[in-house]
Amino acid sequence: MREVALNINGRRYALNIADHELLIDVLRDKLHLYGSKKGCGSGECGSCSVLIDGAVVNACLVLACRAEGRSVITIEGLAPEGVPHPLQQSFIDNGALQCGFCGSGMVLAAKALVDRNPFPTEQQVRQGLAGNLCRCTGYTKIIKAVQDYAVAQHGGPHE
Amino acid sequence: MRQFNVLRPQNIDEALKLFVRYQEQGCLFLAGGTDILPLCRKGALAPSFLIDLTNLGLNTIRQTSSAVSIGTACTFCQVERSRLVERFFPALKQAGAAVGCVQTRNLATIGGNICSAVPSADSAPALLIAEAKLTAVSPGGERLIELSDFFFSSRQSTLHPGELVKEIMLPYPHPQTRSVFLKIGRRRALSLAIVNTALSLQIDQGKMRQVRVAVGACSPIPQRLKQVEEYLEGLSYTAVNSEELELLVAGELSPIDDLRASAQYRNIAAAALIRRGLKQLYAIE
Repeated sequence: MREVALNINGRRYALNIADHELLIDVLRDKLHLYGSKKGCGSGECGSCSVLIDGAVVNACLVLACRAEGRSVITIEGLAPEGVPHPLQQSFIDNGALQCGFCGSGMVLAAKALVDRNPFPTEQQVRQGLAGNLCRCTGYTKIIKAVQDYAVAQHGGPHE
Repeated sequence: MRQFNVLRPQNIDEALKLFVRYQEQGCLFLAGGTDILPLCRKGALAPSFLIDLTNLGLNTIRQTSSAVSIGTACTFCQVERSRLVERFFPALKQAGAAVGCVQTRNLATIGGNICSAVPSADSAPALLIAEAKLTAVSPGGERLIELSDFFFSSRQSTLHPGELVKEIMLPYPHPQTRSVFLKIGRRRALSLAIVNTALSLQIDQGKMRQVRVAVGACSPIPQRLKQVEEYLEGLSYTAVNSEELELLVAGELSPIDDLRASAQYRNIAAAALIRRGLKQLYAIE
């Protein structure tokens, strides 16, 4: 066990963590941030996706001690409490969530995508979300929600 | 997950010494962790120590006078986005983009991919056609390993225990070289390759020159197909005989039946991918 300084959603936490503990478990079990979900535990479903220094990664593949000194954003940190982020609002407006289990990972992956590429084509949205599995929606409304968000934020590429 | 300690050396020498010190208790080098951590979680691997390689300065892509040097701790996102890789080794860029998904690519490293020595490693075919060399370091010093000599068998490389690969050197290709990478998997992303291939060549008055073909996931190791290369050398695309190509490909590969595909499928699919790759290379402006 060692004391590890983690920066989660802009807040600094000093936690006693064993080297083998995974970030997803520390987020959920120690910090009670249950928004990130544990689906497969092996980096193949994306439901645990978080942003580390702006890059979307699977928290089940990150040892918590290796996140020290990096900026971690979970779904809880996307927007101030009570006010949905425009991307989340787009998911709501487009009916892009059913059971919601994939939602936090999907939204964070979409945020990372549009932050990097303000004018994603449908194909680029599909590729950017290829690491996030959804068993409910068939992805159509998710993709539309992301495209609507990108256009609302940045306009289309020809405007 | 069984417990282990993570050691964070600040330089390569320290990393090598730590390995020697903890070798008997069981230690592994750790880069991205996308291969090792799920295996530890399942109990397939049970090291007592993991030696973190991400602070050793092995994460840059740079030019030397004779080659492009890719640090083994570069993530696949870095490889995919690198202007140098795009300019000189498009097949490697395409291979990098085909690994897993964006989440994987932000963590997984090209060094880890090669050193896992899985037959389906997506970076292997593109590196083989580029005639990549690895710089390996150990307490005894440095050595250069031809990538074609590096893979020994499935999940076995010719690295000695405690030896660390620090960079991949790719000699500059002939300026007119075109290259491409193709992959067949169960899905369009998040898929192990059932067959993957990289091809490079130049086209001189419609004829193929300096043809290089490598195929992975169809043999215990990723490999160049020298007889296929010889057959294609000097031919134009339209002169390629599909049946002969299929026979040559099947003659050089040794695929197995596994849960993803049969050996027969792999032989047929490898030849088809090679044909498709040639078509794409001819179509480049």
